[in-house]
Amino acid sequence: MSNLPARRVMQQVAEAIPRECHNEIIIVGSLAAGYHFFGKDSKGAVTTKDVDGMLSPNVRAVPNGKIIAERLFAAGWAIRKDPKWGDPGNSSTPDDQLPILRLHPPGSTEWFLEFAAAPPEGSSDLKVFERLSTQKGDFALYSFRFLALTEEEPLTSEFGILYARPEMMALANLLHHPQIGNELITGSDSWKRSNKDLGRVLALAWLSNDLDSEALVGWPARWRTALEKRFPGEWQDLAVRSGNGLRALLDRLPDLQQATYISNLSLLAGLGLDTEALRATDRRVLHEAIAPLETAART
Amino acid sequence: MEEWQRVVANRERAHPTLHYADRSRQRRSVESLLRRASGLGRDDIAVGGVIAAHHYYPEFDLRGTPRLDLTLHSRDGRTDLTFVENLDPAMERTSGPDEPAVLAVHVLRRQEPLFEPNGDGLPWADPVATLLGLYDARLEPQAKEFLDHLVTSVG
Repeated sequence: MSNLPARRVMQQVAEAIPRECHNEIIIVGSLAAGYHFFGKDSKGAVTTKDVDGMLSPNVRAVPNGKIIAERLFAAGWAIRKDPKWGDPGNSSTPDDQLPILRLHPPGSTEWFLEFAAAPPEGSSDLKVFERLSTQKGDFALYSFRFLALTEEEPLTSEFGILYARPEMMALANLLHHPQIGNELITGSDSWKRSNKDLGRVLALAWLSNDLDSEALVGWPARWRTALEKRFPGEWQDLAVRSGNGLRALLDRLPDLQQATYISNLSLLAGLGLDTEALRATDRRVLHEAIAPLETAART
Repeated sequence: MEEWQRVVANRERAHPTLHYADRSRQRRSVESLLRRASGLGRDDIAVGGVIAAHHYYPEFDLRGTPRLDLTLHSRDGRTDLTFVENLDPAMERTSGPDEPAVLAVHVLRRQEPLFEPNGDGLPWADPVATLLGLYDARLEPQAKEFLDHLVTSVG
């Protein structure tokens, strides 16, 4: 992982993407959070190696993905070498064997831009793949169901490109992890995906609270609006289980410790927060954001 | 004065205080805690400590408010402290004498609370409860000053 200057990377991504597509790609994940919380400081850094761009809406993800990819190829962006996935596919490559489109900026392998798609409207699949055909070959565009929430009222960076709201990224992670799962992060032999993502929720909450001590109180109303719009038939069911992952984390010290450790390597780097601080933040999120949402869903 | 010193020395027995410390490394401001406490709509809780001292004695010599002091009235000694979670769930009870408390809850066991109304806000704890809160916060010089003011006021 690298320490990336959040503001400069956001600018570089925005300048590389055709202006007419600025409203149809949303930066999510570490860069979105890093830019939101540290972007005003020119030295504000985010520790990551991948910048996630989600093509939105889904119906235009493939054509826009092709436009953007061709533009980046022409500008010297290079396909990231990945021994596991090898070269881009062709028309006969099965969907599940296509590499994800990951591009390094010209002259640097410090980080890469990874493309995803917003999930298809109304889809109940947790993960969906679509084929993106370019002059360099075929790639997979993946989409995760709950990332639909990050399409809700994205924020606009000073460079014109959109990025996801912290609270919507938090809710997507909460819904994706209703329990502590056993899936490990790629390349790790012990780090659980759910600990990383639930730890990210706590990091987003801590940083939001640092900007505004009343921030969490504003989350449940926006969460409800987003859930009702994106998942109209099941928003109440989703709402009442949104806190399960964080409650499980409170009860499992080794997982909370791991979540703290991973968070301290990325968004919370340099803040020196311990497990106790994240446990307290967990309680804050449950009480001030999740409990009101659960109550609204039950009434 | 000797009698008063006895009251101060024995205040924990008659007037037990529960201390809460922040665990998030993101201590909530006293103003924020007070705003949330005022929103609870409780009539058995009053504001004491430094804030009330300023109310009773505007010349009170302390800038800033190191913590929120609340007085909880309980006729029978039973206390429901669940409201603390609504002020900030990141706080926890502490008994560490050197750990800075963000919130102190003084339990007032007597028939009448003797709170002073305060418009739409939480009422004020009485001057003596306020004074004991200052001693509990180890603000001895300010407590002495406030005590002198009370004695002078009474004449």
